[in-house]
Amino acid sequence: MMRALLAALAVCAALIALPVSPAGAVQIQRMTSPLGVDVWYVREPSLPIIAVNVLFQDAGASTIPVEKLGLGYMTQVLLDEGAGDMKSFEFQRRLDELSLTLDFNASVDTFGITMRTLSDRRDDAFKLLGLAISKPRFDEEAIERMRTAVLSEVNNRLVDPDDIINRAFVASLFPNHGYSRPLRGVPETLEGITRADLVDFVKTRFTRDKLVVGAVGDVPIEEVARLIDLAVADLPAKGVDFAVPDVRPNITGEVNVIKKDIPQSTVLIGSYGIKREDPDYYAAAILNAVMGGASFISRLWDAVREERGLAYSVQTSNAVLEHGAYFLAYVATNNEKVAESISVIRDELDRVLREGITQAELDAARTYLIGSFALSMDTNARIASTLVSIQVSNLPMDYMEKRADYYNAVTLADIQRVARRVFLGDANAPNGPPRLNTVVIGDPANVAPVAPAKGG
Amino acid sequence: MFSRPLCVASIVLALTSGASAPAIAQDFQVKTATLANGLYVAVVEDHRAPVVTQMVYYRAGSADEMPNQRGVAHFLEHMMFQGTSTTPGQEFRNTIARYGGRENATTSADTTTYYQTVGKEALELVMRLEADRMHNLTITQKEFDSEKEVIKEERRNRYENEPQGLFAEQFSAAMYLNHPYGNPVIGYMHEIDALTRQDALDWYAKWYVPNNATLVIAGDTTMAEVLPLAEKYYGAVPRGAEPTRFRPKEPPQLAERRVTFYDPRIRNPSISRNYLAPSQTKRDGVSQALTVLANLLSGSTGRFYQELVVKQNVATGAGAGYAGGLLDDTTFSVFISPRRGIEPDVAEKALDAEIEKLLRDGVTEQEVALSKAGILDGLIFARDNVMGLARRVGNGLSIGLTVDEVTHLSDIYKSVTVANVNAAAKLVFDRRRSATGLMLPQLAPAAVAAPALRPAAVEAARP
Repeated sequence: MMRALLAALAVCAALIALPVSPAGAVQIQRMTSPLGVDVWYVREPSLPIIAVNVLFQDAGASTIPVEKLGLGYMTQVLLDEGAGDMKSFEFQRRLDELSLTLDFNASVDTFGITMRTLSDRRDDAFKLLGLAISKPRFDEEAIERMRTAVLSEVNNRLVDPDDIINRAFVASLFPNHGYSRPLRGVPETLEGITRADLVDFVKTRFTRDKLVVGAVGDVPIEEVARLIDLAVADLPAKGVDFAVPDVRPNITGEVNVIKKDIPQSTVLIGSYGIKREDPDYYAAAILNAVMGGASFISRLWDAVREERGLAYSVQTSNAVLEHGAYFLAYVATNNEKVAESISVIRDELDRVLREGITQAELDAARTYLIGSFALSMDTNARIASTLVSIQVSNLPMDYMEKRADYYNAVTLADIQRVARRVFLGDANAPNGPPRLNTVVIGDPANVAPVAPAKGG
Repeated sequence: MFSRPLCVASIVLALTSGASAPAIAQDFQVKTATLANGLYVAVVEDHRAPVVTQMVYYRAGSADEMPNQRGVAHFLEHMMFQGTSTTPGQEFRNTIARYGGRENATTSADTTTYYQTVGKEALELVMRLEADRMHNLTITQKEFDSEKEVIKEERRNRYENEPQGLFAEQFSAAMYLNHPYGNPVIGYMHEIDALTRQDALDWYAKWYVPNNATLVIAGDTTMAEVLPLAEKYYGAVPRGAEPTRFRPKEPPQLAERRVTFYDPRIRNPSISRNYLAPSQTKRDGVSQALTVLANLLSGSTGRFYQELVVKQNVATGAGAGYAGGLLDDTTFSVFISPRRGIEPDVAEKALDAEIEKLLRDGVTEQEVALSKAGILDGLIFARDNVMGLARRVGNGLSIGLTVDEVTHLSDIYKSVTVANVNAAAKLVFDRRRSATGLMLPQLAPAAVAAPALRPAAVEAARP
């Protein structure tokens, strides 16, 4: 569930928060293609496969007007339903014949594409990718078929407790901002999406100035640059700049209990996050790892699961978006134990505010974050996605080598400051208990709702 | 396209298949050895990154439990993270974490698996630690009691709180008349409640012996490096009494079953049917033909989607799935999700008409050729994920397949013919050996039903 929430709201964060590494074996190459695309590439000669990740920035759900919610998601499910001269079946059949994997992902900030092809079919593969993003057909038959399927999915989600709490949580943190809008839309807006809307979405978002590319394959980088150009040749050079405003979580101290007749409640607790470009980002990542991000060695894992047997899963995250960030704690426990679980978590957040963490915890979290990043670079697909997330975060090409240094520079004083920023909202805030928004879904015993404080 | 999860599933399952056929070309290389104490060792090399994965498969799962100890296989898996006499408490996990390593465990009906992914410099360390808990586990009453609450929360998370989970549990129970594959891996709540510390200790003593385990090391290493370490650490674990599996057999299934599950948390109905089907261990080639069949029925260009969603417009999704990598008879499943306004029985009849047509007219050369080509290409893509290869090896060897049967899938799939697929379809699509499950939206008389697949594995202790 937590994973679903993060996936929905913080795609960048999920990628970037990939623990990072000492250089390891990954050698990044880079070149500008003839059409001007900045191609980041890792050559891996041992497999006859090319994996490519393409991302359009400034193309997420937060750029979509309220009355067209779900437009990005509708585009996602329709891009492989026919392009150029090929109608839906012919296009799908071509994907089958090539054994081409072509996945689209509309997230809150970006629109992402992952493709995986056998190297000996690379020209056909990249041509097909190019057709999908520059000449999608959006035939009426396909639109109606997909609309029916998406409506069915969205109707299911409307009554799914995991989805209900996710929506309530982001609404609580980001009222009146694109981040609180449902990615897949709502039935009323989905009914109103037209072919013209879809065509306009593609024309304004899929443009070469918003393009980020990362690839891994067994051919020379010049060949990959040629292939990328093949795919993007028919895209407009310039798109529309959508002014999505930056936003800070609206932390009011509210406790929102959504009553549902289910035996286990889910609890989401939110506070302030630290954005990717913030100098305190690395300290925040360590603080998060200690609290609940490196789940098996975290304070909450020990306090909630190991010592008290309160839950199967308890986790935290410093979730990073393009225009904001938030800290999240998640636990699911039976209705009788909700009050105790929330109290244990709050006590731990309060304790870290007052006492900070120990040197041993700092060291352990640091080596965990450094080592796990290196270990995550073990498939071509993962390396390709990391190449994209490094660029989206405006990090340098030698980031993989430098990353360990950034973590090694973090001090206990940094952690103390960041704890205040995360749980009080400001390093210089007066002492006090952590400021948190809490949302619960279920039928919890002894949990009293608290209205939002004014001026949060 | 909306989604093709079942198509993907069937390819993945295909990758975990293996069967009898003359060996010609290997998809990937596996080196094997056996220690004096009976531990089987397999090494899969992948030198792209300085990373190794260790997996230990025990040939014991929930289907090996006696009726008075259901849930103990999964319970013990949780206790394996609670420390040993030589490495107490959380030292294991803290050590792995210090290297940034990943670790977890999984219990399925046939096996229990522990794994870690670490930098290659930590290989010896994780081998020492995993060998240690093969014979030095300690279980205190306090840890046992506390972990019981954790496991009950895990169950609530997967079942009581999830209508799909509750349905799957009832549906599986209806599928098998006698075989324990019908039981949930995690156990029912009252069974978890009844388990004792002694049950866990007995389970550990019986099954956790080197002669009942397979060690798979995959990644940036070689058998020459692994074998001395395996001798040093795992070789020190004494051979145990040979555990024998007792699996109740299915009687002839003579009557189709039907499960109807209602839940207010469900908005859209769905209909699934599982047919009893042979697994790869039958070695008669049917398993591979069923994988080809599931693949050609599924996905956006598959028969079911094209006919039921695109042409007849009665559904939002339809497909098939097959999990061949089990020790005993498994299931071949089909499903349909009716579109709004279409009654479930109308959708079910449409699905049945497709099955009848398939049995009457058979599949085409083109369908089989495309399906096979997709599976064969999938075998190449699979080489990007050495952990996946390690799983294929570990699971395959644990259910009794040979190394050749695990590594020569391309040859095996190339040999599947149209006649094989049609014969497999005729064998499997027999309503008397099926259970049909309906998952329906409204509140109604107590009952249960819906999406197909048995939860074959409970992801373990750790998220």
